[in-house]
Amino acid sequence: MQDELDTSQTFALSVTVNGRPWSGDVPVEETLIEFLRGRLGLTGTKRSCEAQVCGACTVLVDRRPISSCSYLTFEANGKSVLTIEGLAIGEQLDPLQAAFIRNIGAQCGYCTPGQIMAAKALLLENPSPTREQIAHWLRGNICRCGAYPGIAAAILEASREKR
Amino acid sequence: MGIRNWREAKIENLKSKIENHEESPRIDLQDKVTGAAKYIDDLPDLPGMTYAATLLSPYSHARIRAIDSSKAERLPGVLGVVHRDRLDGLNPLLPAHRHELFQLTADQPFVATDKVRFDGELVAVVAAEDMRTALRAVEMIEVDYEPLPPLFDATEALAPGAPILHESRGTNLLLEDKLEWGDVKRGFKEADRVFEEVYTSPAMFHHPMEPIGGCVAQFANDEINLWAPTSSPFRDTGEIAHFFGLDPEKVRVRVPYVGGGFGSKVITSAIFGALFLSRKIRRPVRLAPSAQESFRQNSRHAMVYKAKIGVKSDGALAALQVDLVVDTGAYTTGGATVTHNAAISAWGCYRIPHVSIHARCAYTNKVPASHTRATGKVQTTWGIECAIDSVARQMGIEPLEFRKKNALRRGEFVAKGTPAMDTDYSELMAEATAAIQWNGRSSSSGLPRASHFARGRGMALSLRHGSQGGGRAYAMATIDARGVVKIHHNTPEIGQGTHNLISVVAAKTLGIPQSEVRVAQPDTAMQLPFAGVSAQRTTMQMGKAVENAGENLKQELIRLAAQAKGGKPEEWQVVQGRLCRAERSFTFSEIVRTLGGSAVLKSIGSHSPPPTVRESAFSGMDHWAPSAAAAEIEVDCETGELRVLQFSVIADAGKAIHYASAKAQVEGGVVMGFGHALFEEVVYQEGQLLNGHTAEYRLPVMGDIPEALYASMVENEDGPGPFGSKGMSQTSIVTVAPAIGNAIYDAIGVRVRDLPITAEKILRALGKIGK
Ligand code: FES
Ligand code: FES
Repeated sequence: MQDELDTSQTFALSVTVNGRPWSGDVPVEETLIEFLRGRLGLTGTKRSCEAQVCGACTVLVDRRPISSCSYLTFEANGKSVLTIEGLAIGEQLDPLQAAFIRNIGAQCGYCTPGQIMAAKALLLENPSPTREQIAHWLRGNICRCGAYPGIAAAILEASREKR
Repeated sequence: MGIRNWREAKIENLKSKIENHEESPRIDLQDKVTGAAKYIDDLPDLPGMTYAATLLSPYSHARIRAIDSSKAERLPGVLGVVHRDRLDGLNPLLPAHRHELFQLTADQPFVATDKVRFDGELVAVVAAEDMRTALRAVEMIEVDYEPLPPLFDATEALAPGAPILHESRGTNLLLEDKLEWGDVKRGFKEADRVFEEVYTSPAMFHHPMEPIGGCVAQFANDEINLWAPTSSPFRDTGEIAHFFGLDPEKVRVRVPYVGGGFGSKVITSAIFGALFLSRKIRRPVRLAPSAQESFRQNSRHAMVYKAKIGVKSDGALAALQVDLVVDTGAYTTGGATVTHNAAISAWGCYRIPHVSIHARCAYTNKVPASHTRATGKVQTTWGIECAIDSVARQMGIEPLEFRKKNALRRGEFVAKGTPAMDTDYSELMAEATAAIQWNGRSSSSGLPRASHFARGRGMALSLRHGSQGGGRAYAMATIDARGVVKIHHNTPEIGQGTHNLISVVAAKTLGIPQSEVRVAQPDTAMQLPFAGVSAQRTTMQMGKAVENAGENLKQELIRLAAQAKGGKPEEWQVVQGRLCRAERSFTFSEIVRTLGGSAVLKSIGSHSPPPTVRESAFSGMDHWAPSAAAAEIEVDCETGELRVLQFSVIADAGKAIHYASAKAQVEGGVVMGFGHALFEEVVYQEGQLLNGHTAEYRLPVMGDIPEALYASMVENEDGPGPFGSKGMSQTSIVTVAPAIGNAIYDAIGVRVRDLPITAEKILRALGKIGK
């Protein structure tokens, strides 16, 4: 009867997503990815392994990368969430997004939102990473299409542009 | 110029090449970097949407005694259940797979009937008001299994006395293929030395990051509307229609962006189940499978490559005999294609007067294996390219010289009915080796080493045939009164940049900027046949169809211009996106508007590949798709750990239609090749699939890929595709494992013959740990 218990328990959540405040009741066991995709319709965040291994679901919570598949929505209470949809300012792409296009940092594109968000967190912490630091930081972001050379080049280029 | 400078010059050259190509950005990437790209999971719910979950077999081989789903059916919110006892009279057997050269019979029901034959076989599907209820209901279904002994090895499956997996067939042998020329017995007699070599490749999993088998299925009023990530929507409509006894035009398949495929994205058994349930409960059904489910949908064929090679004392290859054992898993799936592809690629790219290749494909209790990036050739190239290296060294000949001597030269014929060799391997090898600052000579292994680290270098060649068969390909170009050009087709965008390729070809053909071309998402309602995005078919076949559609549209515009504005069609031409005659010129839109109303001009384009005939193994082939690769590695002889320091691959692209995308494809193939070479293996133990989750299956990450990864293309504009292009997307993956394997031998003087090349296997080969 665990399930019935779970679904009856809710949490009164206040959170900021991509700069916009949101408040309401959410089930305590709802994951952040379910919240973002299901409740807010922010489908840019992708579901893949659902086990904190692949990084496809990476978003930023208070500027740090987390796997939204393995993070409960209520943990984000009072915090600020940034997803791929919140990165561009109007039509103006984030330098990372533009660099991903130029360097073919995406092929099928399924891992891409996660790669870009993880890279965003890296550049917030370390504005001029080496390729080795990039590879280390992204060890939890799998790209089966093998766009790694393009991804690394894009991040290096974006970091140079920022300076 | 020193080699380093040469390389730098090369790289500079490459950069300027990309810059000089003046390419527009790849058209799908804006959507992909902003999160706007819609994949199957992202499509909005249809009104009345229901959610389905699947029950999969936990056994690799078992008889099903009984299924009791009564508890699940009573659970509030459950709308429908399908399993072998809930078929409402439907024959569950999926249509037989088709292959131009083999007669295949249907062997797989979409839900298990009497037996399950692999871990993960579909047993039941439940549709419910929400996903949580569907998942709970699945757990309430009781299945009584009688476990049977499983078979995980194709050679064992073919041995006398092995348990038979498909009883009615009486054998585990699915099919055989043979390829012969010359007289192999005579060849071995003429040879001065004969060598035997065996190389094996395990089952692996494509692991697209988007799980396999998601869908939105609607089956109402005898019509099917299906949204699904699949690589061949047009073909699928025929199969789905056949299965449900509908006219093909009653089946409409639409394909959103696909999150990678590599051969794995097909219409799964569970999608047939979802369609069945949709008809039954009269509501649309959504499937959103998990990573574990995805793992059990598809795999790559395990293969044993066994070669006997005869060589004359001057180093000329005299004879080759190859025995291949192919493991197709529980059902036919891609068995015919892989076996045929393996047979016709097992001889590599060498001039061998006497060849005999025999391939046998067997059933086992593994997850059924289908097409996988360079189907059948990853395994055979691992075999032939290591074998060639090994033979050369045993003959005391430098592998580079041995390859130069024996590789086919431009213009040479492999056998009757094949295209002539259309590349210069010596050029490809020179580039590939120079890129890693290597003169192509072997290290003098055996010398005392300063430390326990040993470095070595190795190379591999590949010869992939260009697209083979697949039937005619069609595309349609339209232009409306506003002058908007749109291309319709059934070519999914699965990651390679197919839609971008279509827009480049259309724009160039019509002489307009790429930004003025729209590319539709695949929709079979347009009834445009295409075999699908596989086998390097898109550049060549769809590229040609789009070029032809663009050309036809141009001619129609010219005829219309002549009619509306005077003159003969011959006096009109298209210059920079305008229709011109003498001093006068008009926009496309002005000409279309002369038709009045909401006129849209439409023109169909098509391409027909050469016919495939049973008599010639290579028939239906457009061209060759060759490449050469070189690797530099370092082995820690204490731990067996391997690092790839540099890797280069040069593919003959004929002409890259979008250079940056094509280069990314070549690089992507290398990255996947690293996985195959070094980590990946689907492991079965005690009757079960042991590592069927992303967390347990090691995939390449950025840190595994050397910064010194050098991918380039030769562009001689000599291919039969648009602008002289060739198919090239699968040329790089096959070279990775053998180049690394040969480099290991170069470094430490021992060979690992079973993929993946793990630290443990290196230590075992070095004799540092026991068998
Ligand atoms: S889906 Fe969250 S880490 Fe893979
Ligand atoms: S772009 Fe396809 S998985 Fe990364």
